Amino acid sequence: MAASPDKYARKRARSSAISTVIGISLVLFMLGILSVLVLNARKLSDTVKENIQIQVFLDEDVKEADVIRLKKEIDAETFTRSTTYVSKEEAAKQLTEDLGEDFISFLGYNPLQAAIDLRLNADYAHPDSIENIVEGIENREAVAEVVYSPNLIKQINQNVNKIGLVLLGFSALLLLIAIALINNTIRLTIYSKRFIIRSMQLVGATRGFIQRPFIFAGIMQGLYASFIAILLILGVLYAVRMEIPEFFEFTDILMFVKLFGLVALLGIIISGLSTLFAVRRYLRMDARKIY
Amino acid sequence: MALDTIVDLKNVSVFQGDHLVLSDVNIHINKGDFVYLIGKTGSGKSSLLKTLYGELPVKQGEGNVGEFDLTKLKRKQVPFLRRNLGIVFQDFELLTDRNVNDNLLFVLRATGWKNKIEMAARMQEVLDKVGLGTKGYKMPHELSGGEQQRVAVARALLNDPDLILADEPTGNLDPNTTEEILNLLYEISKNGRAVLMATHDYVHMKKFSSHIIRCADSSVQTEEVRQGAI
Repeated sequence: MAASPDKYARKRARSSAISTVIGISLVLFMLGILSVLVLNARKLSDTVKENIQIQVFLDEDVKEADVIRLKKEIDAETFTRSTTYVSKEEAAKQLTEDLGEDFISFLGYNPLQAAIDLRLNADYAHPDSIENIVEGIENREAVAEVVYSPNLIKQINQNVNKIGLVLLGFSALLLLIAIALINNTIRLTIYSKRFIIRSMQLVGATRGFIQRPFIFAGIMQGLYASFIAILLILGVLYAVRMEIPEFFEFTDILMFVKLFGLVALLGIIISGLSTLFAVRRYLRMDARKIY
Repeated sequence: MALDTIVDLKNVSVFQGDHLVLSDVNIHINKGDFVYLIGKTGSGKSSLLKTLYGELPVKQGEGNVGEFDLTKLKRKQVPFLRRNLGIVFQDFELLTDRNVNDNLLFVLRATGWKNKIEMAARMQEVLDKVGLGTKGYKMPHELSGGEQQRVAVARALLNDPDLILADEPTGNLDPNTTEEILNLLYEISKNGRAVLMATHDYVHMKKFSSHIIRCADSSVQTEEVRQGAI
């Protein structure tokens, strides 16, 4: 009989701690999902940018050795992601396949030029830098003409920027909401303990001594919450992968380390700091204002 | 200040916020004194005690408790002032989220005790003194008002303080327990400590006293009192 109210009180304390942790973890989960989107948006835009093709057409009478030298030179540039040499014959074969018609026998000669297909690193796929790159290549020996589509590149860049800005704004907003929500939840918990904090002060405990266990508990709460949030995020990612396999790779370990590190860090920092501020509030409070 | 002086207030005014509660307070308590603080409810007894344990600031006059100058007391020093005092609060101020043992343990750890065996022994000692030796595992809300009060007394004894401030420490106790607690406090005062006790209990007051401080009409009078101990 004696144990039952005790048990009840402990149960009640535990359930309030659990709901705090769940509250924090849901907010962290939202932040985490958004971070996945941001991280992947960058990757997606990188993929699009790296698939922009610049065709370097070569002079009609260029020698095989010159082509190899030129390809090597371009390969050595920092902006280059990959180059492929497409000879006259290969280009003809490709076009024949595409058209479904043997145009060489129809024309009597091969009008196509040999070319090097250049794909840029994402960082250089900007209209201004592309212009510079193109100019540089056009001035080289054995190059007849460089062809690319400036409009397409402009559009891609504009859209990527827009999406990035929207996501960034959204993340900032969500982070603010997260801090406000977690702060509020923790303040309520500490508020319910304000008389205990006061009693502790009255019996001669220093502020630091009173704060320490609260902050430790706050940090642990943040840790538990981020652990739950990470499990939820993994679940959602797994479900998404079942539907859209190309959305991301599970093998990208660095991204996951970053993501989960971010979630855990945010959880600990927000929870720990909120606890600190909430406890301090009552440590400083005048006795008559506590009621 | 004389060596055996513990409390020395000179012309102190006690304010609750901006409201003047007591003025021209002159109190002198030496080691070995057992002092009653009497007065009607609302006459400023608790405020006077609060001044002594640093809850209310001394803005006018001079005040010393032990080695602490109350007029220059900084917020950071307050915990250390309170460690030299044993305070029995009117509303107990027990930590309601933990059992009696953990309440006592908190105070010991907060005041720098480290050795677990010593702490356990000290806790048992003070609980035995107030007759709660077997109730250490109970939560405060499982105890009666009188038992909670005795826990508060036990807690005040933990650090063997020079001065015990008790705000109606026998208010919830039956006559027998009251006498036990008073005996306990009186013994403590005879061992070179001092006790300042706010009370309404005029019956027991006659039994033990050295002098009486009376709060009335926002001033304080000290009366030397008649017969000594039991």
